[in-house]
Amino acid sequence: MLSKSKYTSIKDTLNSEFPFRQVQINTLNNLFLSGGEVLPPCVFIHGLPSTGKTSLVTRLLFLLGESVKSSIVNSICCYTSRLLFEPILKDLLEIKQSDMPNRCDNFMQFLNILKQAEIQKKQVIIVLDNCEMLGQEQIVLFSKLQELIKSYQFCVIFISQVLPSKFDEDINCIPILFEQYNSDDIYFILLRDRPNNWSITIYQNFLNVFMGSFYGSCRDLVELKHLAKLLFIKYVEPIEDGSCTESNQTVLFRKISPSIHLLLNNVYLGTSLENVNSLSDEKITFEKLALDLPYYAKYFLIAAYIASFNLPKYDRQLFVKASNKKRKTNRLTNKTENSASQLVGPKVFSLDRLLAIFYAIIEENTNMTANLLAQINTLSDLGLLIRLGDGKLETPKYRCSVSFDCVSNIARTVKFHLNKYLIDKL
Amino acid sequence: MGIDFDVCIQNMKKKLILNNQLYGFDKEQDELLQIIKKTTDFGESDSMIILGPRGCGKSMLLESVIKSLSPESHTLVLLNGLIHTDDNLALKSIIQQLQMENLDGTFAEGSYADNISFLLESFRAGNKIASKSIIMVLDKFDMFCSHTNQTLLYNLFDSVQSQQSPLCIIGLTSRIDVIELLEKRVKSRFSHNIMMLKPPSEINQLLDRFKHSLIINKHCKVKADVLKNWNNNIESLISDVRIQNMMKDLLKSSNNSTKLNLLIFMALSNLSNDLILTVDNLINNYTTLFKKDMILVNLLGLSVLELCLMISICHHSEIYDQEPFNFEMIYDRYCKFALRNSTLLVTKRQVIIKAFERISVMQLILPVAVIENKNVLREYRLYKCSINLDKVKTASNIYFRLPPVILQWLDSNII
Repeated sequence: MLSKSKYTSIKDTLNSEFPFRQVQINTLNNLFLSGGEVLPPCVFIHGLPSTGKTSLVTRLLFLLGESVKSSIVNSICCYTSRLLFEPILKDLLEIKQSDMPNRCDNFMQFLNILKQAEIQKKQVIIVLDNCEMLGQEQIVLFSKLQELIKSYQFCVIFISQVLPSKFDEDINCIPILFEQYNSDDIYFILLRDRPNNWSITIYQNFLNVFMGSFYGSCRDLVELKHLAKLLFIKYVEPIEDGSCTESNQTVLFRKISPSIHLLLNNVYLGTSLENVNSLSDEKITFEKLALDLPYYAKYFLIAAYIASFNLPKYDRQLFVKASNKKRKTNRLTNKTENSASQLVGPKVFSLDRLLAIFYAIIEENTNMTANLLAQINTLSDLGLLIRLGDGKLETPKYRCSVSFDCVSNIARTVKFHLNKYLIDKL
Repeated sequence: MGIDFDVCIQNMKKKLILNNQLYGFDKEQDELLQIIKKTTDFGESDSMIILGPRGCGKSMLLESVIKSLSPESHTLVLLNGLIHTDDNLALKSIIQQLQMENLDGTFAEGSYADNISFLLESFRAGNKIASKSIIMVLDKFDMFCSHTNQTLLYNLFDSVQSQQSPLCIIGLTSRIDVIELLEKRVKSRFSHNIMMLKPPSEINQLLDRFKHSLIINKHCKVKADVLKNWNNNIESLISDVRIQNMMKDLLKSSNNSTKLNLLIFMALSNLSNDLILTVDNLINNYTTLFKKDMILVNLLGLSVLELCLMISICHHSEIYDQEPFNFEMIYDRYCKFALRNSTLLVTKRQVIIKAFERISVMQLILPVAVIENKNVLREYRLYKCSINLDKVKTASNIYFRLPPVILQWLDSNII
C-alpha cells in the first residue's frame, strides 16, 4: 500500500508531464490510486490518435511500480489467442516463456492459470491497447474478468480509437474520454519543444506561422511535432546566415512559405527534409513515376491501362481505323455513362484483349514470342498488373493496378498519346 | 474518522462489484429451490432454463439459491458458453470440476471420445440414492446450442431423462428463442421448465436498490455521528427530485442493474474531500457515463481536412441512397469542392488517402467486406458510412473556427 503523499506526487508528476489532461488524470487517480484496494472492473479509454492515451496509462503504471502487477499488450500483435494470453501470463506471473507450464490456447486455460496463481492478494491491471483488433467475444470476456475470477483487485483497461458503442452493448465499462487538444493546447505543447539555443519570441513567431498553415489539415500532435521540427530548421536559416533579422517577420514568412507549401502536401507521409527537397524537383518526380521498364513492357502496361478503363464495346471505335468517323457522334452520347469508370476502378480484361490492344497501339511489327509474353508475367510479378484466378486457366484475366499519372508518364517516355485512347479523357 | 470510513466505502464498492444482493424474485427463488431440492434430496434429475434480459439477476438468483443449500449435499459444475467455446473444452472442464481425474489418472488430457464415454459411464454407474447429486449451470446457454450437433447438450439431457445419477441442469440465457435453437432430439429430452425473470420496471425498485447499496449498516466501525450523517444524506438524496429524474432517465435507457452499480461505483470513487455524496456528483457521473455524445466529440476532434472528407462522404451517401463508396469517389467530390472554393485546402492525393485511412481506423466509415481482398486496390475498396449528415452538421456548427465556405457547402450538396 502506498501512502497518500505518494499518490499526490504521482498525480502531480502526471499533470506536469501531460498538460491539458487534468480531467482524465483526475478520473484515473480516483479510480486507481485513492480508491484503496478495490479496482473498477473495466475501464475503456477512448480518444483520437495521439491524444496521450497509451503514454499516459503506461506512465501511470510505471509510477505505480511494484505496488501493482501489470501487463500491457498491444492487441495488433495478438492474431491468435495464444499470443494474447501467454504474454499477459508471463508479465503477471513473472515467469519466462520457457517456464510456461502448459500451452495456453484458450480462455479456459488462461482463467485456470490465473485462478491457481497466488496473485489474488495483489492488485492486477491488464492493459489491452488497440482493443478493436480483438474479437468481440474476447472483449466481452476480458470485461467480465473480475466477475469470473471473483476478485475485486483485477482491472482491465481497454484503449481504443474506436467508439465504445461500436462494441457489444454487454460491456459494462467506465468510459474515459481523451479529448482532442484544441489549438491553444497544441500551441502550448509545441512551445515546450523549443530548441534551447533560440529565444522564446522567435519560436513563438514561428509557431504562429506554423499553426496558421498546418492546423487545418492535421491535428495529430505527433505529426505536428515532427513537422514543426523540420520546418523550424528552415525558418531560422535566413537568420543564421545573416540575410535577415529576427524581427523582420514578413521577409521570414516569404522565405519559409515555399517550404510550408511543400510540407503541407506531405502531411502524414513521414517525410524528412531531404526527401522534401527531392520531391520538389519536378524532374525527379517524373523519373520516379515513369518506371524504368523495357520498351515492350511499357506498351503492355499502357495497353493494360486502356483495357482496364475502357469498356470492350469501344475497342472497335478506337482501334479500327475504318470506323473513325462514327466515333465522334457515339462518344457524346456515352459521355455521362462513362464518367464513373475512373471512380469505380479498373475492370478485368482477358489476355486476348490485352494482346489485341497491344498490337493495335504498337507501331512496329513484332512477332509474338515467349519473350514477349514473359513481359506480362514480369509486370504482374512487379505488382503493376493483378492476375486474377489461379493462373491455370487457359486465358488468364488481369487488372491494371497503376494510377493514371504513372501510365501517362510512361506514355510520355515512349511518345505515345494516351489520352487519345481513353474514352473518359476524350 | 479517516481510515474506518475508507474501509466502509471500500466495502460498499466490493458489494457493488460482487453484486450478490438479490432484490425481489422471492417467488422465483422458492420455485427454483424446490426444483433443486428435488435433485439433492430425492435424487430426481431435472433440467430447466432461466430466461431474462442481461443484468436482470439470473446468476444472482441462482447463487442465492445455491448458497442456501448445504455444501455437502451437491457438487456444483459451472460452465460458461463464452469460455467453453466447444464441447471438448466444456467436457474437460466438467471432468476437472467433478474432480474425476483423481479417480483415473489424468483423464482430462484425453481425446474427446474418451472423455465423453468416461463421463457417461460415470453417470450410468451412479444411482438415485447413493450418488451425490450434481448441479450443472450452463451460463450463456444459447452459445452451447451452436456446438457441433449439440452433442454435449444431447448427452446431458439424455442422462437427465434416463434418471441415472441425480443431475440438475440449469441453463441461463437472455435469448427468448432459445428453445428454437435446440435440435429436435435435444428438445424432446428437455423438461421444458422455463422460468422468466422480469427486470425492475418501476423507479421505486431502482431507488430501493440505490438506497440498499449505499446505506452504511450499524456494525461498521464508524463513529455514530459520521454514520448518521452519511445515512441521512442518502435519505435526502433519494427524496431529491433531480435524483429521481435521473433514475427515471436511467430506467428509460436500460433496466440493467449493472449500470446502476457502475454509476454508484463511479460516484463513490469521485467522492469529494468532505466525504459526502452530493447530487451534483451523481449527476455529473451519470452524464459522463451514459450521456456523453462520443461521436460528436470524435467529429470535433477531426482536422478541417478530415471533416471535409466526412462531409463528402455524407453527401455521397445521401445522394446515392446509402450506396457504398470508395476513396476515388470521395476524392473526386472533395476535389471539386476544394478547387472551386478555397485555395487553402490541400488536394494532394497521398495526403488525402492518409486522412481517409485515419477516418477508417476510427471506424467512422466501415469497409463493406470485412476481409481485405488483395485483388482490389486500396483506392477502390468499398466502404459504408456509419454516421449521418445531421450529426456532421451539428458538429460543424460548434466546430472551432470552421471556414464559412465549408458550412455553406454542407447545406447544399450540389457541386
